[in-house]
This record gives sequence, structure tokens and C-alpha cells, in this order.
Amino acid sequence: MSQYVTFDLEDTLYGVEVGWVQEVLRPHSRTRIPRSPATVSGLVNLRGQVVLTVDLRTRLELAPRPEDVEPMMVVVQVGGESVSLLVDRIGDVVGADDDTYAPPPDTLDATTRALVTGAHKLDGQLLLLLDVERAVA
Amino acid sequence: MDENQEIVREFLVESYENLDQLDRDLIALESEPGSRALLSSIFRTVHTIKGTSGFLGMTRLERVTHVGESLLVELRDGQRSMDQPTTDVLLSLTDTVRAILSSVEATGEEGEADIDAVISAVEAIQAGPAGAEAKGAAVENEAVEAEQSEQVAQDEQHEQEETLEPQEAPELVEAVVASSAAEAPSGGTRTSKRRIGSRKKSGGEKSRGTKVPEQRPAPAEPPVAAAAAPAPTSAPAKRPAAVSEETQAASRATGSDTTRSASDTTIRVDVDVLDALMRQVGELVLTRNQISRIAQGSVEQDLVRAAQQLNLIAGELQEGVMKTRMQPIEHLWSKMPRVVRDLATSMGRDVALEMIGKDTELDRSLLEAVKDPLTHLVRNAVDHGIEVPADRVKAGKPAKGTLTLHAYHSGGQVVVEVRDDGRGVDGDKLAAAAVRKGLKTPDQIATASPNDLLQLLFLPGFSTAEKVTNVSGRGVGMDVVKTKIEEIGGTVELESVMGEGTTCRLRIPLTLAIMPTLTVACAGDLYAVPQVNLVELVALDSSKEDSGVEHVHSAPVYRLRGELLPLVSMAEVLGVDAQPPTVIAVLQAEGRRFGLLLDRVVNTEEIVVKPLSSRLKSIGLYAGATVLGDGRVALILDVQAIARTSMLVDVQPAETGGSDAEAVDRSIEQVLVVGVGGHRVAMPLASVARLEHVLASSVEVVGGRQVVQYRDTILPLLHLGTLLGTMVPHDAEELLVVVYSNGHRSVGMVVDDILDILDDDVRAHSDTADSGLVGSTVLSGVITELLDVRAAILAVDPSFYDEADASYTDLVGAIR
Repeated sequence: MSQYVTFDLEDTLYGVEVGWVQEVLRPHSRTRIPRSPATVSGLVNLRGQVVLTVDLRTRLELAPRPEDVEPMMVVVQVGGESVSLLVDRIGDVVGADDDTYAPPPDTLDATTRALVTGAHKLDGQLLLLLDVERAVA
Repeated sequence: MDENQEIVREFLVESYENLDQLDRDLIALESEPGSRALLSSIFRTVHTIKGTSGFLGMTRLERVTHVGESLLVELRDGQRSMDQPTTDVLLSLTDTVRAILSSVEATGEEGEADIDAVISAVEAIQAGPAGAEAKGAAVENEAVEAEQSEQVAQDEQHEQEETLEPQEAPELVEAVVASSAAEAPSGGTRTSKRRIGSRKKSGGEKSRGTKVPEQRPAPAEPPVAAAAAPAPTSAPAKRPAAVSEETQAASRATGSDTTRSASDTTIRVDVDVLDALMRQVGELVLTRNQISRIAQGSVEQDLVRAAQQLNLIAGELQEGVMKTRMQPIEHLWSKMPRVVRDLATSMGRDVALEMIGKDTELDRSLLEAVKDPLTHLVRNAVDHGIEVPADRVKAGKPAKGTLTLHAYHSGGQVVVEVRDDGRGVDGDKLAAAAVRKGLKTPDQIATASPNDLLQLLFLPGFSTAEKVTNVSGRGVGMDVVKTKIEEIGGTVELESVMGEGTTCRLRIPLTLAIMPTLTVACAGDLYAVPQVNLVELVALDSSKEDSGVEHVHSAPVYRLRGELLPLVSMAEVLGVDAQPPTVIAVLQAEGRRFGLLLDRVVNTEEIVVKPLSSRLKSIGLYAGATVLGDGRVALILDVQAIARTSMLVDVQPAETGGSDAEAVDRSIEQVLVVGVGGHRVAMPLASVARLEHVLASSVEVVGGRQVVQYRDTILPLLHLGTLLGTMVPHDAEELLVVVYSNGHRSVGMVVDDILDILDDDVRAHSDTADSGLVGSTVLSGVITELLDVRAAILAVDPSFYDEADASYTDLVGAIR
């Protein structure tokens, strides 16, 4: 049984294993980084630490987030470095048994497939498991 | 087991320091072969290592040091005198010991370092003929030896004592203290170190209590004291804590050692602890900045006062913590005499090493980072810089070359100079090599300034060494030095005069963690510019139509005190929306100056540098990030990288030459195009100081020449129309004057119009020998005449070029 921090991106439910997640925060003001890759959406000050922000919408090549949706920050620890992921809406922490696990569905587009390690079939919903290391790389 | 490891670790630390000392002493001994003080110091060091290694069961180390020791005994007692082979053997002995120690450090084992070669080398020396004075000294030596063996016995006694458990210690400690005190006048650092060991185990209070004055013996007998007096240099490098006041008194009484007085006050602290402390202070400084900002806008008097107080305390704390990490550069330099000696010997050079400013202090981490570059520069200087003695004599220089290391504080930075009086860098050779390697085109070389040529040395893969030696010339050279120094926020400058020598100047920030910066705004965001790179700020008058920024093609330039400053627009570099710039930050990087066009300067701030994720580093614009006083994140601009990527095209390999839109291409000369009587006349822009409007009514005639009063001097005027025979001076109310300056002398040339500033391709000139002209060329599709500036100026001021230095005259000659 694994525990996942879940969040929405364009009405799809994604999950990150709780071990990766440092904290979930309301959005901070971001400093843009000119000439940086498009997926990087700036730097935030997290209690004195400078943390890189990656917008998962851009990373997954989804449509830009509507103006009226305020993104949430999921701060993950990757390779000793904190990285903040921008998501649309934060969900519950969900426990899922191994028997609900399935490999990534074939219907996913290539970009998403490359960033998803698998899926859990929850009641009435599919939970896509995000490959955190790849997502921030 | 842990305790044992602790002992081994301390032994290692201590031994490394002792070995450094040993290196220094051995080198010093070569110039002072008879110095008993030095020999004794060396002997003690080796003996200490031997004793401890025996105690720790390191048999190989013990064997090596044992043979070394027996050779040293002969030397010290005058049975043998110091010579070159002996020094070599002793130095290689030191190296072997070092090798074993590093193996112990890495693996806990003594390793397989070859000790037999050294041992047999030492034995070979010992088997050789002893010094002539040996016999004569023998009688006296008996006494010395007797004393010596007693001392050794005492040392061994310490070792045994030190192994005892603390609880059983007090009486024995007393004995240790007594014997240590007895040795103190002759004992040097070793005894005091020993005592720390024992004191730690028995608890400070107790052992201090045992050091009763009665047990302090009378000064040692004169011959021994003379033989064993420690070299003055042996103590200060490392002076552990435990010399009691009594012992100091004894020292002072005997007058043999006065350098130990401060030793009560030092302790060893783990560097990690200091690093953590430094980080925390960094955070505190940030928080203070934040509080200060809040307090600034507040009417609450108490808050303002408290904020000021906090400001003060945090500043002092920061300074204090920084001090704990400061170490004199001597730590680094202490290895240099050995490096220079070995290299000079193997290269057949004769080099004297001079070190000035040994006490200049530098942050520990920086010291570490500077080590390799500095060693490289020193090697370079000996290998490439200083000639072999025969060549030096031929060049009229003393046979012995001088290599000077000079460290000093300057403008919040530490400057370290490596200066040699060798042959200097041959710019032509550099140029040829650059062309051969395809790093430059011949055209680029033809117009490069001497400084540009020197910069070639910093290109990766550039080496002018005619043959690859063991030492240098393998193509990993100055570029690595430069990269390393820039990594720590420093800069490298190179100066060289052919035949006179080369100076390499490293500018290093005082500390890594906290950086003074200028906060600037660009397109609504704040960025930090390191003050290391900042030369000055120039305000642009944006209210005027002509802000002073001119364009050469699309490349903006600014005329700053008569010099053309290439400009880089920050908005363009960052690819953000440009706003009218109000300020030029004049920056120095890559060996030259350029101006960065900014929207606005916000303030100066001390910032704590936060590392940037590697993905952002690869953008090549940012050196790091920081949190500003208001909590916002700001990026720190990497000035060097910006200089490299956005303007210094001619330092790039030739094939990237196409992207010179923003660069001032140096193979092309800039000219000022003026209108004179309907003609277009071009003159070199480089020597134009200013363009001025002068009222015709202010022109006076002195001695048949027209002059105006200009900035408290008299400016002779020349009507170009008259000179070129195109037109007589007309009666305008206002004259347009191009001012040429050379030193204090200026000449004004009256023209009709200023038409343009253009690039003039020197190769497209054609010769038309007309009066006052050197030729003509086609600029922007129009035939333009080239003014013979020199002749024109000499016509009004024959002594104009007299003050000029040779190079300037040459330059003018070249233009002609």
C-alpha cells in the first residue's frame, strides 16, 4: 500500500508518492528567469531558500492554465534539491493497493507517457503516477 | 577504537603541518647550511613523526623516519655538512612520509609507498665521506649526544604517559609538565603539542594546577640551548593552546623563544562548524535586511531603534564569523619555495622567490580554491617566464631571476600578484599560434591590441610552449586558471612587457558567501550585479533627444572621457522588453570594459549567494540567485559570461564571427565623417576627444593663429576648409569644432557639419595624394576623403605630438 499526494492538471488526477513531497503551499510570488527553458516558471523564496519552480502544465505540454485558476505549489525533494511543482488543484492523500496498479495506459500521448510511471485504478477515477525525477529534469 | 582513530587523525593533521614546516626549513637550510637552529627544528620534526608512528604501529613510516633521523643527527652534530644531494634526499624523504600519511588518511593503512629507495638513498649519503669538520666537532658532540639521548628518553616517556587513561593521569601529567617545562627552552612546538594531548585527557583544570613554578628548572645548559634553539619560524604556523604562563616566563627568561606568547588562545575548530555558522550568519544578514526595510517605512521609533541596533550587531557578527574563517595567505605560499626550488632545479633556472604580504588574510574556502591556480601561475613563471641564467646575462639582467608573490587588500578584494622578471610574453608569437590553431583569423590578429593578444592566453587549448615539458605546455593552462578564479567570483588580469617580465594579477573576493552587489532593475525585475566587476555608473540624460549613446551600425557605443565604450543592452541580453535606459554600468570583465544599459539602479546591497540549479547555470547569464531585503528572489548576473557571449566576438573562434551585430569589430576602424565645403571627410574617431559648438565671437587671434578659450586652456583652431583648399572660413555665428587631444594638448578643427560615425574598412582605402589627405574610400556608398590628421594638427600645433609617448606616435604612423 502506497500513499500518494494527489493533484489535478486539466481535470486529470496525478499522484506523487508522499516520500518525495516536502510540503504543499499556496503560490508564492515568482521571479522570472529570462532565457530559461519554457518549463521553468521562475524562482521562489521558500523561507530563505531559492527554489526552482516547474509548471507541470508546460512540462506535460498541456494548455496554459486559465487566468482565474490559482496554481498550488507542491514542493518535492529531488537529489537533495527542493523543486516546486505548479499544479491546478491539490487533492487528498490517497492510499492505493498494489492490485490496483497498471502500467501507463496506451491512450496517453507520448509526452505524458514519458513522465508517468504507471496508474492506479481508483473508484471511478484513474490516478496517474508522476515520475518526479523526470518531471523536474 | 574510536579513540585510536581520533589519535591517528590528530597525528595526521599535526604531521602534515610539520611536514610543511620541514619543507620550508630544508629550503632555508640550503641558503644557510650551517644553521643549527634549522637543523634542530628539522630533527625534532622527524623525530616526532618517528616517535608517534612507532607508537601507532606504523612500522614503515617508522623505518623511513628512523633513517632520516640518523642522517639528521649527523648533520646536526656537525659530523656532516649540508649539500645539494643531502637536501634532495631529505626532500624526497619528506615526500615519502607524505605519501604514507596520505595513504593512512585514505585507507587507514600505510600503503605500498616505496620506502626502500629512499632508505637506500639516505644510507648512500651516509656511507659517503663525512664533512671535514666532523672530527673536530666530535668532542663537543658527545655532550650534545648525551643530552640528545636524554631528550629522546623523555619523549618516549611522554608517549607512554599519553597512553594512560585520564583517571590515572594526574601525577604523571605532572611529570610530563615538569619534563616538558624542562625542555621548553629547547623544545619548540612539539612539546607544547604533546602537552595538549595529555591535558585533554586529564582535564584542563587539573593539569594547569600541576604546573607549579618550582618544577620549572633552570635554563638548559648553554651548548644545548644553542644547538636546540628552535627556529623562530617553527612556532607561529601552528601554536596549540597549552603553554602555561610559567613556561612562557621560562621562555622569556632564557630569551630563546619569544614567539609562543599567544598560544594560550587558539583552539582547533572543525571547518564544517564554521561553514554552518557562516551560513546561518548569512541568513541573519538577510533577515536583518528585511527588518531594516520594514523599519525604514515605519514611524514606530522603538522599531527603528531596534532595527538599527540589529543592523549594527549583525554586521559585527558577520565580520566576526568571517574572521574565524580567515587565514593568512602564507598557508598557501608556504608550499611555494619548494615548488619553485624543485622546478628551477629541474629546468636549470636560478630563481629567487620573494613573498610580500604573507599576512594578507583570505577566507579559507577561497584559499583552497586559489591553491591550484596559484601553483600553476608560479610554475608558468618559472617555466615560461624566467630565462636560463645564460640568456638572462645576455639580456643584461642578473643571472638569478626573481619571482615575486605579492598579496594585498584593495577595494574590498584581495589581490594576489605573481610577477616575474623574465622574458615576457611575445605578442607576435601568441598571434601566430592563434592563427595556426585556427582560433583567430589573420585579420583579427592584425587589428588586435597588445591586451587583446594577451587575452589569447586564456583561450582553451592555447599554449605557446615550443615544446611540451613535464611542467607546462600541455594545453591545460591559463584557461583553467581563469575558470577557477571566476568560479569564486574573482578576475584574472595579465600584463606583460617583452624582455621585462610578466605580471598576473588575481582579484579575489574576501569571502564567498556574502557578496556586495548593485541591485538594478530591468523590465520590472531586479537583478544583482557583483561589485567586483563594477567600475563606475554613468547617468544618461534621457530628457535630451540625444542621450549620448551612438550607434556603429546597430551596435551602441558611448563616448566616455574620450574613449569609446561598447554598450550592451541588458534587456536585449535577457530577451525582455526594452525600456529607455537611464544608466550605464561600466563593467570590467575579460580584460576589457563595456557598458551595460540599465533601466534603473535600485541600490547597493550585500547579498548571500544561493547556488543555482545546474539547469539555470547552463543558460550562461546567471552566477547565482539571492533573496533581497523585501523577500524577493533576484538573479545574480554573470558579468564574465555576458561579456563573453554578447560582445566579445573577437575573442571567440573565427567561425562565430558572423554574429557580430552587437560587437564593435576591431578589424574595422571607426571614423567620424564631417562635411567640409561640400566634401565628405573622414577622420579616425579614436583620437577625437569631443565635439563642441563654439561661438564665432569668442574666437580670438593670437600670433596669427585663431584660438578660443576652452576649459581654461587655449585651443588653437584649424579651419579644415582652408587646409583642404575647398573653401574660405565662412561667417557662421557658431562654429562646429572637432577637438583632438593628446595629453594636455588639444587642437580644434572647424568643420561645417558632423555627418556620421561609420565603420571604415582599412583594406578598401585607395591612395590619392592630395594636400592634407591620405586617400579616399567608399563609406555608405559615398566617396569619402580621409584626412591626414597628423599633418593637419601639426599645421596648427607643431609640438602637438611631442608629449606623446612612442607608442602613440607609432599608432598614428600606422594609421597613416
